[in-house]
Amino acid sequence: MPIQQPESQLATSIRSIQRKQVVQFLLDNGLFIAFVLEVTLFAIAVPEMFLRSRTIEAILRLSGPAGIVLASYTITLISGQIDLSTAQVGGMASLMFAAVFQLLEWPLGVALALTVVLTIAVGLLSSYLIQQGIPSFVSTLAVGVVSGGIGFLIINLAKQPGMIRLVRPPLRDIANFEVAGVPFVIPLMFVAYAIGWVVLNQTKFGAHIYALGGNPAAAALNGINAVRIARIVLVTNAVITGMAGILIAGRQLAAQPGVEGLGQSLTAALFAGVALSGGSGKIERTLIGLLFLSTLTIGLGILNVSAPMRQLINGLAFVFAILLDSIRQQMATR
Amino acid sequence: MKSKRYLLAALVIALAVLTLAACETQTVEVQVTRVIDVTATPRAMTFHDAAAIEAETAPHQCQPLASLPTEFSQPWRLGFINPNLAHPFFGEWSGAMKSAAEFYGVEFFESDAAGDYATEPDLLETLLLNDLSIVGAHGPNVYEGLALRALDEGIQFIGIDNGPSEYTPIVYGIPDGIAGMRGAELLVEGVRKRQAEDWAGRELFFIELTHGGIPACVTRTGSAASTFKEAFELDDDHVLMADLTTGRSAEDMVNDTMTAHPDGVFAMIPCWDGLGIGPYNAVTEAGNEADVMLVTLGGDEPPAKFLKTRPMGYYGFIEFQPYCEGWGWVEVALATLEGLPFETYQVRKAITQETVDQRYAELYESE
Amino acid sequence: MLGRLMQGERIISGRRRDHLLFLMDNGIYVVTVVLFIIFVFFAPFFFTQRNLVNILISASLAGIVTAGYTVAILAGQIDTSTQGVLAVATVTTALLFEEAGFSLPLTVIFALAAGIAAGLFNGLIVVNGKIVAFVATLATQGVMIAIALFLSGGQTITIAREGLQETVFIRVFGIPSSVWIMFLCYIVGWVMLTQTKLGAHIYATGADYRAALLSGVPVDRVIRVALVISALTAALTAILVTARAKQSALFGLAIAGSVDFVTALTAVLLGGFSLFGGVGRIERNLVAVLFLTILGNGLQLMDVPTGIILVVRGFALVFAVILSVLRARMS
Repeated sequence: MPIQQPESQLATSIRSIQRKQVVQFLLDNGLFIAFVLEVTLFAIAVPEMFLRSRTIEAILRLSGPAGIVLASYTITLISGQIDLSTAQVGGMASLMFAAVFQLLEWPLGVALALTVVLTIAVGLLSSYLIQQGIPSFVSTLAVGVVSGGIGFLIINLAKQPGMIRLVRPPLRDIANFEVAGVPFVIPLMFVAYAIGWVVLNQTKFGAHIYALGGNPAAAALNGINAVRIARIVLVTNAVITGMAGILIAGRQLAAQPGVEGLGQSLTAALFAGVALSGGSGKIERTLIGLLFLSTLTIGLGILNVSAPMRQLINGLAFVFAILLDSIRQQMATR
Repeated sequence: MKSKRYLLAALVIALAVLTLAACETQTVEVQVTRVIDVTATPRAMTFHDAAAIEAETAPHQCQPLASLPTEFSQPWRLGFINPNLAHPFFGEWSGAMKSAAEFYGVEFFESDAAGDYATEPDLLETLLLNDLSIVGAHGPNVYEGLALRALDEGIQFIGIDNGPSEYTPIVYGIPDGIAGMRGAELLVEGVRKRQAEDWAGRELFFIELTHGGIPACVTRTGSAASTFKEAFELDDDHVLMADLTTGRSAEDMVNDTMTAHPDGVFAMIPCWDGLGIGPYNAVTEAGNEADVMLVTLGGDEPPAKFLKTRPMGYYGFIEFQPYCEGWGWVEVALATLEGLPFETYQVRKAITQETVDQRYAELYESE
Repeated sequence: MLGRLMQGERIISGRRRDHLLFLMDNGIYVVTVVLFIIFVFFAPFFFTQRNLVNILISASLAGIVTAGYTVAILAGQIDTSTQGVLAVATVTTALLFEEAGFSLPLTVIFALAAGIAAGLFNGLIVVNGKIVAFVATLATQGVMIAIALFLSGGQTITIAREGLQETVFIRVFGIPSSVWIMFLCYIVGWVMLTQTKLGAHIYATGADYRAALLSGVPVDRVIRVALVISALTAALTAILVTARAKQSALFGLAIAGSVDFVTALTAVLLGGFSLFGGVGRIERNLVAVLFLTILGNGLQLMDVPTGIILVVRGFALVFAVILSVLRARMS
């Protein structure tokens, strides 16, 4: 029956389009599904431990400082830059702050201001290198090494044993300051996301960031100042990273050269569908990505999973996240 | 240009807000002196026997640090963040704590930082979900934050081998500074012996093998260096440093340092056993074994195994006796909860080439 | 000054440009010699036979990894998993030789096989997963370290059994095997890159992936081979490092006693390589490794504080990065 031939072809192509739509849907919303699935699984596995306000607070507490950084980190990624100096810049900032505030006993505002100036300098150095045509991951890696060195230099100069204790009174009150019964870091994180969302979605600047990350050449032709945007984005990211470093140091009551707690940013962002190459991604999704990872940490902790296993799961999660990114890229170009 | 002004403005505003927030919160006071209510019950109590505990903890034969009742006033729940379960030393802690908790009939919850101290604040959040009565950790760089967080939850914190802090009244174990000092004392003994023999009249140097990124290490080897320096009245030029944070290997750094003083002899204390044994073997390979003397800190199976091969310049190690230390932590925690007195833990054994065979047989070949 | 240089072609006239290019291409030789001379005068006992051997040993361990790393870079693949491969291979070596009692040749074969397996794993993710090598290997490194932790239980494994150091790290004419192996690696690398078809393919793949693909270069296979070579040299280094220290080099999550990613990257950039692949000569890289080793060695002889060493190291990297960009601008 010759007449069915085109129909079946049509059906196949419709089916393939449908399949593509399903894959696309999964890629777009897979994170939400995965998150819900994860929560459900943990809720079934350890209901009495997991389904408590306390557990939820613990998950949010865990996400706090990393979440604040992730908000600006997402914007950086969308603009097409990968920042690998996060841990070192956070550490350097906390040491700078601790040296001025704790050891020199200068006022809080001055210590913060000096730290901000230092992180701005670091951001400017990164953006200068990038402006010269060096890929961002190399530039920021180099800047990371320099920042780590500065951190150690501060410790050496202050003659401190590998860290600076941070216990001068007003600070620990701030670090443990509570708003409506929850640590202020948690609302601050949501505020950071709200600001990030507004900047990206409601301003011309945000549109420029997307345009620049998506296609730098086209963006340049349309008169978007790539250098300026890269500079603002990287400086902001460095400053916020520094502030988060201080928050973490405040929680630990000690400032140290590297802040590991900020390391999950890249995984969380990739999970959430922010493209490594820039230009796409939604900031609210990275919040879910982060919550997914924090829930994983807490859940595995409750289940008492061994540390090498945790390391393996985290490693595989990262591999999985970049594979997702790759699939997404291929879908987009097909 | 415009963007710069915006940026500046935003920063100034942010700063102002932060500063205001700071002034605002200066009045907020966190209660840090909260103490747990202890309802010491005056009923007739029977106590555990010291001899029974010594037998229970064989071959380590730990002395109990507190006389604890056979029945507690509450079903206590203890929690501990182990810095690295895979590390034999900390692994011993874990085994001992579990055994002790079982022996005394209380619940014990554990969490593993896997060598990354920076994750301990996060792990504490999870551990606290178990409604603990008391919590502990080893984390020389983070313990004050942990103690404060525990107080926030209304429970006490008892660390192991940390320093003092205003957030926890109990300093348990031996802090890194004293551990380093003990090591230096053993090394001084060894060096004096050598100076009576082939090292007579040789120029003596001390090499501090450390990791600048680990505060515990800096404290530990730093105190070893100052103890050694004092004992031999060395000046600053004779106290040298090899720091892993420079990105170079300890083997290379020790060889380089020795080269800079070709006629010298060198006494070394590393932050952990392996950090000294690797360079020692590299020095041997370079044919300079006669010029070094090593004492290491920690003392679990790998260094014991190495010491058994009688390396010429490996004088010995300080065994931190992790098993009894872990066992004792449980006793101190329970005594604190019950409001009972307890003794200070201070056993640290110096093991040398004379004693290593017997000790190795006791600990690792007894089964 | 720098800013003006950056604008390259417009400001600098032809002849001056040639001179500058020549200087940039061969600057690493000049800088290394200058640094060497400075230390001869300022670092105590720098110019002694003993110290020169120290430098060679130190450079050899970094140099072997960097040789393989260079091949990957030339193929356009930045391999950041070096530490992961080192972790797996050092633990394999120590476990098999000490705990399982394997014979030495068998131990070495298995350790190298572990390296090859790691390289193939990287190749799988990069080629089949179509992921930028830089990110892919960052991810696989985490997995490899986890595997090494599983295998060793996180412990340092002391090697009390005789034979590993004595045989593997043997000295010939007073110079340890690792130095000879390094030179061998560079000779093999040089021959492979300049005299064989594979070498030409590696350059072609790194220079322009699409063009290479269109002109019939088996690009995917070339990338796989490059990543395996990179991992293999890391495994080789791990065996040597383990033999020298007579213990496994994995401590917690860190690798002691070898080269790290930052050093390798600095060396590659100082050696005049393009990070995008296709440009660079392996022999210059050897000099760059020597430069970095001499820097570290000299500062150690002078007993300089850690913070200063780190800042110097950081700026060496920044300088290398700027240099590589200048070169790219001008050529």
